[in-house]
Amino acid sequence: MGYLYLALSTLLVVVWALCYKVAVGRGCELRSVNLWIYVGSSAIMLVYFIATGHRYSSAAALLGFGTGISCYFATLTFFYHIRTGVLTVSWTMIGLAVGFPVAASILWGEHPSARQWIGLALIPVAFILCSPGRGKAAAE
Amino acid sequence: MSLFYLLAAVVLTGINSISNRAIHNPLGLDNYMGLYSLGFWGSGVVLGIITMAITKHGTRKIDAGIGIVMGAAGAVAMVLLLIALKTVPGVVAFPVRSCGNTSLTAVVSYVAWREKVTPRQWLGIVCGLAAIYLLLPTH
Repeated sequence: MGYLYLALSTLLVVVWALCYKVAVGRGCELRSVNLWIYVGSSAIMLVYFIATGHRYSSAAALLGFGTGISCYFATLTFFYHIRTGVLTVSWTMIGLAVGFPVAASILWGEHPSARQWIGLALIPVAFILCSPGRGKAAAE
Repeated sequence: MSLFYLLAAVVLTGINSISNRAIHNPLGLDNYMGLYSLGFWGSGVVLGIITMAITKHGTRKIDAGIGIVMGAAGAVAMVLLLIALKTVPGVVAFPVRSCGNTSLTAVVSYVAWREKVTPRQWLGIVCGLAAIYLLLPTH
């Protein structure tokens, strides 16, 4: 059953990503769409919070609120990027953000594995290869 | 400018990833994921209302429709992942979810919008997928 939830979760993230392009294609007001994203998700999270025993912690609330601010601007800047960007490429670049917690873990005194070091080294390579150059896609 | 927006989005998403990880380790606030998630999404509502009030932009039905679909998809995806992690090991869940959504999005958007991707960018996508796979936790 857990694998079914995992598959559904993955598909829903794909829906999320594709909606960026749909919103831009339909000429939506991006700031307005961005607001409604958080209205929709907050309503569901309120239900989840109540259903899971509504436990309170000031630290968790503050961390969530602060991270949400970062997420708000992440979604907004990605909206502005995707007006001219290529979703096929750009969403892969967003995926590379998994490198940040690995990099942070170094500051926390952890030691990334050899495979994670290779992964970190591949990030700038992927960025350089995916950046719009003088190719066909850039011209168009 | 478009590349700047993309880099900003990647850095900000990276900050989110650090926080999402920190809530488990080193902060150990796993039992408060519901509140953390509510604060996470709720702050966007506050910021969104402030932004709309300052810019005096209106909203249309289509904006609300697409936004709510995105928001619901994102929130339900987060809840389903949390439920899945109770039975599926993280070593499976995170690579499947990260690599799965990245590659599926790439394929669907390529097919749906016939986006032009250069061979160099395809190589970059493969390189990026490999990087994501290698960076994900294995324990």
